[in-house]
Amino acid sequence: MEQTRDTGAGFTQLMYDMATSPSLTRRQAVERLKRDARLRTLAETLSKYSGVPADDPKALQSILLEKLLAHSPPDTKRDTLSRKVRMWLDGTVQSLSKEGAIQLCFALGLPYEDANRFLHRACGEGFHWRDPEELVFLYALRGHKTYPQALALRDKMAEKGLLTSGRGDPETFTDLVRRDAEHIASEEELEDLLRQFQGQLGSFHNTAYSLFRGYLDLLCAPEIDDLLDPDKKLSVREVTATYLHEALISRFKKAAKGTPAVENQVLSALQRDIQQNWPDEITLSRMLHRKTDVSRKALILLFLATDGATASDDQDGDPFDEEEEDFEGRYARLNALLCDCGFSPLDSRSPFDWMILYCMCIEEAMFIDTEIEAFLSAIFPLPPEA
Amino acid sequence: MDHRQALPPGTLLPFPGMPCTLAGESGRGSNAIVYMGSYPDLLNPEERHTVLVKELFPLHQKGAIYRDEGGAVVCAPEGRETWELHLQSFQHGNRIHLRMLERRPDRTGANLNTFPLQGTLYTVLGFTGGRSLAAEYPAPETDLRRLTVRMLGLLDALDIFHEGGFLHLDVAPDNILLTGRGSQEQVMLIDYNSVYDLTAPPKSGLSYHSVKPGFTAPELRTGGEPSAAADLYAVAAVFYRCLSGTALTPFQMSRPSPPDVSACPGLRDLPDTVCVMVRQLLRRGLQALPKKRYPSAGAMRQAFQELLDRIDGVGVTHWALWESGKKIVERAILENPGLAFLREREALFPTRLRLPDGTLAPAGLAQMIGRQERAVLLTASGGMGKTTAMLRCVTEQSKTYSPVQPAMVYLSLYGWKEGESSYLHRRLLENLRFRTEQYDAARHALDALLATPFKTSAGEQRPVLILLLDGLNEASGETGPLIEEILSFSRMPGVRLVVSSRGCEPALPFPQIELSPLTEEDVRAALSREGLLAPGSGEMRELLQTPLMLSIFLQSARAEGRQLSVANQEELLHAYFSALLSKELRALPEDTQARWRIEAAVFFVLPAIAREIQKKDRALEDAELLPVVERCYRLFSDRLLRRAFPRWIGHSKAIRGGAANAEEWYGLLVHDLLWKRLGLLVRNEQGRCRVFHETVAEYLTALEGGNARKLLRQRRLRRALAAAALVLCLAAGWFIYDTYIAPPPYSEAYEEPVFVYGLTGYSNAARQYEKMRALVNCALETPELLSGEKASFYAALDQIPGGINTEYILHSMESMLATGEVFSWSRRKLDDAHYRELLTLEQERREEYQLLADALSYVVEDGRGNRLYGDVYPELLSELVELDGQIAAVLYELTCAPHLTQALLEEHADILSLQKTLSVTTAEQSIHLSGETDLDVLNQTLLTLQGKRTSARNALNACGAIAAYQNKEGIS
Repeated sequence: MEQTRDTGAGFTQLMYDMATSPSLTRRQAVERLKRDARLRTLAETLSKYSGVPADDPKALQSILLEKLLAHSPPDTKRDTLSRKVRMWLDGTVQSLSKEGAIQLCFALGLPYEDANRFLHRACGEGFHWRDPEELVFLYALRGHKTYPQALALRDKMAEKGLLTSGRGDPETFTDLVRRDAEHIASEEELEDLLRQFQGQLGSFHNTAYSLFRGYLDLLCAPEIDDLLDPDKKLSVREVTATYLHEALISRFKKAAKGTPAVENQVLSALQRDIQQNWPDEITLSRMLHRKTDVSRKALILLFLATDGATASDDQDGDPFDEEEEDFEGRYARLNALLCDCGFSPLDSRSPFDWMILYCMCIEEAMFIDTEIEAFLSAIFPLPPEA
Repeated sequence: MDHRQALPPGTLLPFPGMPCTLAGESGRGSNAIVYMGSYPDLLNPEERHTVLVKELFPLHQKGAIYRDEGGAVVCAPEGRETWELHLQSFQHGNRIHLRMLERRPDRTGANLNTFPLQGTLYTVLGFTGGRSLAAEYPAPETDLRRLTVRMLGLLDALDIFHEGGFLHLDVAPDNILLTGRGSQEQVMLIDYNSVYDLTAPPKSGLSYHSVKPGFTAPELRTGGEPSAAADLYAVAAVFYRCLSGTALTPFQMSRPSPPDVSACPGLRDLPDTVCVMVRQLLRRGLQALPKKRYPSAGAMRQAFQELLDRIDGVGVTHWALWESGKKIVERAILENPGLAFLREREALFPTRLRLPDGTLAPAGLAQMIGRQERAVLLTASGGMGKTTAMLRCVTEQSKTYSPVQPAMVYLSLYGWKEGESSYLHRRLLENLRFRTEQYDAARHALDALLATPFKTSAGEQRPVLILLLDGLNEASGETGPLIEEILSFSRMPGVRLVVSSRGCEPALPFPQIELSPLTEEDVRAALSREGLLAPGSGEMRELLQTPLMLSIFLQSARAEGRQLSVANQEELLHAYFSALLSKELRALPEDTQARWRIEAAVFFVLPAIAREIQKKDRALEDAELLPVVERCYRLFSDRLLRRAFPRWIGHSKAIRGGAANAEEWYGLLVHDLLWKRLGLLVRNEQGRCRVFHETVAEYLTALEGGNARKLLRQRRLRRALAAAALVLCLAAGWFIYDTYIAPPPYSEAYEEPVFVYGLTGYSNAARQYEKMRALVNCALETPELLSGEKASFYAALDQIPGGINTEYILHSMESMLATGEVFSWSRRKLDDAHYRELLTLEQERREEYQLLADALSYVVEDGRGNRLYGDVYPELLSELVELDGQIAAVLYELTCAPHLTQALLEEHADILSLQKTLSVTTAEQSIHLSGETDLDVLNQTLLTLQGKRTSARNALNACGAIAAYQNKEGIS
């Protein structure tokens, strides 16, 4: 497994500096986010990877439409596709589905490394080498095939029953598959590989799941025992209510409606970015039972919910240990964790990630949670009638 | 799937100058296959060099890189990209290897050369016979020391890379090679393919690094800059892997703290300071941020070295002092059940300090040493809980080790010996182990350690050591040297002192804090918790404000299971010991004989021990206590003790408890009962015993005084009785003997005359001998004078008193024998047979001697007689006369000497006079008394002499002189 180092700075650095500024109060942070946020738009990402300047939306629209048509099934309607691209470029849609993003990789003719970074930007995660379908797309992409050809190959493999998912070994398996998959040179070899690892491949992120389970176990066994019922464990519902700010979820939509018109554009984008895929009890339960894949957002929130619980425990009095871990350390661990799972690292130009960055800067880790809740309350104020 | 075909064993690779024959495959990676092989020595071709041969043979999934029929490695076009990548990696690794070899040949495996052959590259490597760390640890390490030594070796190996400007970047168990075994084991880092050259120009754009799950640092996983810290993260991860048996999981790596390793087998039963150090190493080594990890391999090595020292317990360090302080108290509590209460936090009474302003504060460590003073004097009277407060501080402090909290050591000053000036140093150092064998160096290291306080990250200065010195008042003798040493410690910046004493100590200019008595509320609360009524007596209520007394009160009431009615300290302590006994007995069967032993131990042996300890004014060793217990043991076999303590009558056997001797009894009573079970005796660090509290010791000493008085009374009474009985017995015995048993004495009318006649008989015989001796001597020495001597001889014979009427005397003797059995003065019988011989001896020889003297005259004076017998006869006669003298002497010793008592001589002046005369006579006559008193021996001697005389007389006759004389004189 190899990772890349992003050497770019620009707005990303600017937003990072803003989020981590020690002098910023919460109110100021919310105001600055509303006022100065340079949110990374889908149009911006598409512009970057298509090579068409963002300040020429018509050209961008045109190029994307043509390339997508060339990499779409024959029955795809031009108007439908055109509307879809327009929604990406005008910000109506802020992120893509993974399948849609992969199609764009084909359409834009991106090599693997660029494609992976594009996926990170567009849908928050890169290629998943243990997912049999993505293995097919990876092979096709590396072989410079079209997207319809890739789809046809996928269907062919599916017909042969080679795309069924299993659980596999969460610790080392992805790396092993990737090492072998990188050398595939023909459809036969792909078929052989899928056959060889059949039952061990799957679309869900195993590393992310193992982390998710670990955090959930920590939360379900709270540190302060119930005196009346010492063996009691928190349910997923209680975890959601206590640590994932479930009570605020219902306010997300209402808040959007009650936002002053002048800020509507920016605020809606902020709200939508934060609100999108916010894990609720049902989602969490589905993730737990592997009905759905663990999401990046859920993983980040659980990481932060559990991080404070042990940040200062088992101290041995080493002068070195007396200082509580600061933002930098937590930031490094979170990014490493996201990379381990195949997710994109924190992006200061994503409102959700910016909020996380800002809240992580708080001195005492155990209050990050409270800070997030307060931040969310400020972003999603109670409607006037409430 | 790996389809690569290895070269078969026996393949010859014709490298120039070293034709290698392969023995077989040794291992393979994605980049190469490694074989064991050998090549012949050029000088001695029959000898071979064993080597490893590494063949560049990259793995291609579909076999685009393969071996052809001729054994060559072939790369198909679709494998070209892979081939190039691995070729570069192979060359890079070789280059780094050679540079490392140049720098540190001692720590780098040999790289002999690389040869192009059969379409690929072959590197010939030296064979070390090593094994990988991964293979060495299929399970968690159980020996932390061994692992620590290996980590030190790993850091040494890594340091070589870092010194050379390289980063290894693939430190993992499969790339760590162990060679040699035991102390000869060496650690090497292999696989140079990921090595990063820090001196090479920086690459622009993106950098790519190999990621090994569980070992790769976070910054490498997210595409960050590599640094030495990344290698050190991997070292910490390897340490964790070996310790726990599994590599770090993504979840573990995502946590702010490293995983808990306390359950790892390698840490089982190790001191807390070791476990803390392991956690510190992991925490710092696995920091997410490179700048927060160890700054260099050397710094991390230092930490592992400290871990090794902690495992070995070596060094005069803060942690070693901490361990020592903990051990002292733990050992004291473990060995002394009397101190077990320290573990029960809830059972301890509140202890408070009375501050100078009169307010009360909990007697915690912070209050004792919280002020700026370097030393304080903690005062309180006996039983107020000074020792408890100090020990409690240590037990609280020593629950978990912290390198920024002071070590705390409790030392009892009771063990100080008069004149000792380095007691504190000695006691502190005796629980440490040093690198040096020299005591002075260790002492210097201790002083250096205590010379500087340490600083926390917040800049706060904290002492290295808090020294709790208990019982200054218990240090006996002239305490000047001890005070001086305490003062010297108080001047050390890294030390805080708390010295406890019963009163103020003018020589110690320390601020004084006083331990306050319990409040009435404390006492009431404690009593009420146990459902006990407060004593009616005011004195008693006040007494209970002393923690010791309250504790004793509660224990007694608890043991008795009822309200306690006592009015003063003595009654309370008595009740306490009685209750202790009752409690013990309740745990035993009803008819147990053990009760007598326990009672004797508590009420008799323990007081005796307390007395001895008080007498010597120090804790005592077993060897010193044994004589005390031996005395008690003997006493329990003595009726005297049972009379003094009638309740133990009939229970001696039970009290001895089956002990065969005093030593066994000592073990039963002192070790098992008083020390281990009842906790009434406590042992100090040196294993010496003392009573668990001074106040109780004072009570027991008083009790021993009472016991001793009881025994003394009995002893005096027994002596008086014995003396009276003796006198009575003697008198009665004498009377009985005299009246009923002793033989009757001869009649006073006879006994003295008869005895005097006996003496006279001997006197006559002796005089006769004297004259005859003189005549014979004259014949032998001056025969010319014989006629004159002969006249004198005959005249003397006539002068010998012949007035003894033998018949009368013998009649008197017979009469005397009829009146009794013994002489009244000698209480012995008369040897009447020899008495007769002695009395008749002189008369029997008178006629014989005349004949012999005449014959002598004939032999000397007659020419013919002289010529015929002159040489023989006088000699033979001389022998006869000498035998007669001896016979007379033996008869005297048989008949007279046994009765010559001092009393007789004092009472009878005549006998004394006669005896003196006899002595003079005997001496003059040269009669040699044998001095023998055994009558049997004398009898035997007499028989022998008489036999000899018969022979001598026969010899005289045989010589013919007598017959010749008679013939000449016409005597028939």
